[in-house]
Amino acid sequence: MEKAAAVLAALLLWQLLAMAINNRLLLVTPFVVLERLFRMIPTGDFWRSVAFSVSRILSGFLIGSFIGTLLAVIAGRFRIADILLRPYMAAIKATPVASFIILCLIWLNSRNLSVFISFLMVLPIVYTNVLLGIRSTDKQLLEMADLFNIGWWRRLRYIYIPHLTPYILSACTVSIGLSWKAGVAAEVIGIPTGSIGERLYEAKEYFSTGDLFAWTLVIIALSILAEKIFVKTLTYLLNLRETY
Amino acid sequence: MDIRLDNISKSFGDKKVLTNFSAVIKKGKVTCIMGPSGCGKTTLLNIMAGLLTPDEGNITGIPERKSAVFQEERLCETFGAISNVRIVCGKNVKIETIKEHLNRIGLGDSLNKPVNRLSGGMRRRVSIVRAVLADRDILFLDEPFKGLDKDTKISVMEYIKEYTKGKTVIMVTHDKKEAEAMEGDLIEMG
Repeated sequence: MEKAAAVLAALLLWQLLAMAINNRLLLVTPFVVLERLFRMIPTGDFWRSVAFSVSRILSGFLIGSFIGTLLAVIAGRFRIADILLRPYMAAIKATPVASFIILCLIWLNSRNLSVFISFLMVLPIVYTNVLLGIRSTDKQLLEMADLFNIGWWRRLRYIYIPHLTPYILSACTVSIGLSWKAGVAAEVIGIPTGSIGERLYEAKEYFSTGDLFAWTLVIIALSILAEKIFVKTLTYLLNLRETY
Repeated sequence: MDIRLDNISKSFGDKKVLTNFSAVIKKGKVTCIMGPSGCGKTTLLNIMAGLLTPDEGNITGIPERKSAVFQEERLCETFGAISNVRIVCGKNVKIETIKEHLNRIGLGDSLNKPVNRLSGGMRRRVSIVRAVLADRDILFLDEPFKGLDKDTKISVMEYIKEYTKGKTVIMVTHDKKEAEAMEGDLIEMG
């Protein structure tokens, strides 16, 4: 109820601002955006653009999450791996995303640019969080597992997964939003044909503020939806356990 | 083969906890290590269990396959009692057997509750069943009856004696009555 009221208040403020500015180039009203959305959504082009960007950005996110977790497990087990990986992770975190995008445009086909950029955004976040989780695993429980000579599968299932779940979830929640932002930014610069980024670029080229706002809303909705589905699925999978 | 402890010494920083401690612990019997708090009982037990390394001295005769009730319960908090037992015995022990054991020491009503919702005494009993059902060659018990009321303590003692017959059991306690009730050899420290 409170959330709905806050959204309504924000929409009202937006409407008032647009009316006060009274310039469709600078700021359109929520109604114009809604009207653009209603025109766009039934078209095949809209769904093709959505499918193009969703498949690439989410692929990058999933690959980044998987490799980030895998590297964290290796670094948690072998300190030398952490030492060797540290400069790469620090470089990825500190380098401006635009530099990566331009570099990748030289290296890669622009159609797959958003996969790689999304992957790069996710990798250090997942790596750092999961490694932190592994390092903070209860030493006494691990000692117990050593004494009883418990195998790796049961250690993973009973000790590591319950402990790492909040770390993995928080890393994925933060990085899924980031992968959307960076992925779309990469598409706007690389302009792969049929992507959401291309639509945003066209909106800029034709000064179509209504389209810009409409596509931005679509990106926000897709990002929230992806986050919710992913978190729910992951929570379900990580909590799969015997009922006793 | 009996367990031989020869001139075991252990310090933590400047504090000497054990100095040239020697003893023989008979295989297949219950041995209680007794002494006041801070005399080094738990340190000695942890050295025998392989959790600590002595500064000096030798230990021989410790079997490879070990089980323990630690000073802290060391349970997997979000799992139930049965899962906490299964973590050590896997599928070698049937669920029904685990349930029977948990029932036997009064945990029949709390089989499915995550252990972080159980009382201290109940958690203690889960860790005891886990150690007993692990079915190892040697059992280390560090103050196993801590937090148990008088009646529960008696029934848990009977339970341990019944299911560890023929195994080497080394128990640390500061309570002479507990040591006597376990009907084993006694090593006094401090």
